[in-house]
Amino acid sequence: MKNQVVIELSKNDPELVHELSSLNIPFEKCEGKYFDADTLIVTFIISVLPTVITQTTNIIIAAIQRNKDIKIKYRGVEMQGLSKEDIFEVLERISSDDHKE
Amino acid sequence: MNVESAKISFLDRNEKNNVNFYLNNNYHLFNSNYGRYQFSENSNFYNKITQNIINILEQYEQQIGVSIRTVFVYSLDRNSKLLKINDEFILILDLHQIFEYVEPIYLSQIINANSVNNYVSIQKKLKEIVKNKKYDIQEELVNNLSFHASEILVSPDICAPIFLNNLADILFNYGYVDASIVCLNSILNIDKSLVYNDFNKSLLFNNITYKSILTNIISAFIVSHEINHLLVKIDEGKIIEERYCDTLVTIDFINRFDIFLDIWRHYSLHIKYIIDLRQDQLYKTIKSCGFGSNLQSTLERELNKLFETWLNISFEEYSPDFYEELFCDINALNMMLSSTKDMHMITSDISDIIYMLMAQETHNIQKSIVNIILGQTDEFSFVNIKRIQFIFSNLFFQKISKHLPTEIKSCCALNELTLSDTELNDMITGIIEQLCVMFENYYIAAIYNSIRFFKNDVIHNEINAVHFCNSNKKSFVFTDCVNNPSVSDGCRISPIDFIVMQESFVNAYLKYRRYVYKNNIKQGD
Repeated sequence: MKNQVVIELSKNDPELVHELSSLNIPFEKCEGKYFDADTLIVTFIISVLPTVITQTTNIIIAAIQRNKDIKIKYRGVEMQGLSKEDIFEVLERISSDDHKE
Repeated sequence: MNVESAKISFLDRNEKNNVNFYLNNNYHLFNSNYGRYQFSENSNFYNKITQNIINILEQYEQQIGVSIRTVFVYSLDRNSKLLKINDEFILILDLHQIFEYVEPIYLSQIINANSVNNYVSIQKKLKEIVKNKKYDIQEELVNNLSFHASEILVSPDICAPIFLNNLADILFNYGYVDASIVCLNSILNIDKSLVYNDFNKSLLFNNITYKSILTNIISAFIVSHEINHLLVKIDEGKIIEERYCDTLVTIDFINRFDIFLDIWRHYSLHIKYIIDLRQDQLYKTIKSCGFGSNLQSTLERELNKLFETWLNISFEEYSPDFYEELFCDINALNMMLSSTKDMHMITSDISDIIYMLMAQETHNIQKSIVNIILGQTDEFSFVNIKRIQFIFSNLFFQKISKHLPTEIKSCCALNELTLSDTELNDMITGIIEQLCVMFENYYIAAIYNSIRFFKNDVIHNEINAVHFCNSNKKSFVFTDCVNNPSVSDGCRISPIDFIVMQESFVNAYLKYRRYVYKNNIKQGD
């Protein structure tokens, strides 16, 4: 599946789980203990669907704003320093087929 | 078994959809032929290491009666971890992390061994390991290693390629491709004639024997550490409750009595000396980088706290997760030490694990520096320094235990270690000696160079496409002509394009990384 993004958090975020559940999009939750003692312990894997991109963008932006220890990744690369519009565009590209080789 | 079939069998062993999805998003299951180890040429070496890890895992599976699904990955993140997905535990072992940590340990051995006696001691250690038959090492390989002090030439720059590689990986992982390529190129600019002569070049790059021993020890420790996390989770304290309590008692004991701090200060005098020597230079570098006043004061404040942490032993005011981390380290050591009573093996295992934690701390501090400069965080994490200090504290506990009542003595967390006073003293002195070498030549040098790297405007929001060829086919090749003015009019790639085309960039990055590594050796000729 290429249309998945990963959100890593330093601690569980019930608000984020609730918001993701309300979207009715598939997501998985993993807990992890990292060998390098990194504090990030909860990971959400979201399937980005074209129908819910706006809501997903809003949730990601809100999560970033309320939590500094959050990482958004696509294929292992962190999305850093992107504006709301940029994140929207990235999710749109991820959800569509045009970036697939 | 060739490399490809080894890779496929690992994947088959762990095949399950949700795991594969997770891996696709977080890791790159790279080709086996990349980086510092050319597996296609040394496939036996690669297979032996991974087979050794599987053997360790199978032993643990028998011991604890739980089957552990394990996935081998190569990630630029360098992060092994234990994941819980849908109530199932999965061990993710990052081979890149294991292999990369071998290099600084090995290099610090070379720097430390600046006398014939020290070189002889390395050879002696290797012979003991062969005698012990713990690892599958051929005796003639060790006998063929001959060391002559007159041929040794070591430059302070010797560790530079390793920490610059670290920094390049961190920057690439954050999406700053331009900066990561500039960083890799700076490796090409190191004057290798000062670093490598024929002797230490062959010693550095060809001593597969010693590196494989280090790799085995590191991987065994990482596996044991993660297994202990698993035990804490699934066992609810039934099997390991007593040992967990021992760790907490030891922590409490160290926090209460100043003698541990006194002993640490006694042994770490050289670390203090290095800090005193380098501190001003570091602050001057921060000032000269032209950061804003806020960033400058944050970096200075955090470096101050970092040095304070190194000079003090205390485990107060931390979270339960932190204590679990310390427990998993110490019990992993116990599990490893329980299989041998040989003094040389014990010393070798403990020292190499401390150096490995030091290599990890170096990588983490570089990551923290980048995070602070990019505004992602405003503080360093000191957990890995505490992990190193906790292993030392347990050695000190042994040292003073003869003066303690039996009930306290029996609570020492590192309960598999039984050495005489002299043996303990020699061990601690030897470990500290090489740790100081790593501290000065690798750790402090990495901090200094990581900060200095940001002096120039290397962080861009767009990627300069002149670094890549064949962009129409989305197949990228990094070239070594970043500073060549004739190609300065290349197009630029937006961060959004970069994110969605990541896979192609990773492969090109790894190829270029390997090119730099090969060139690094060549220029030493």
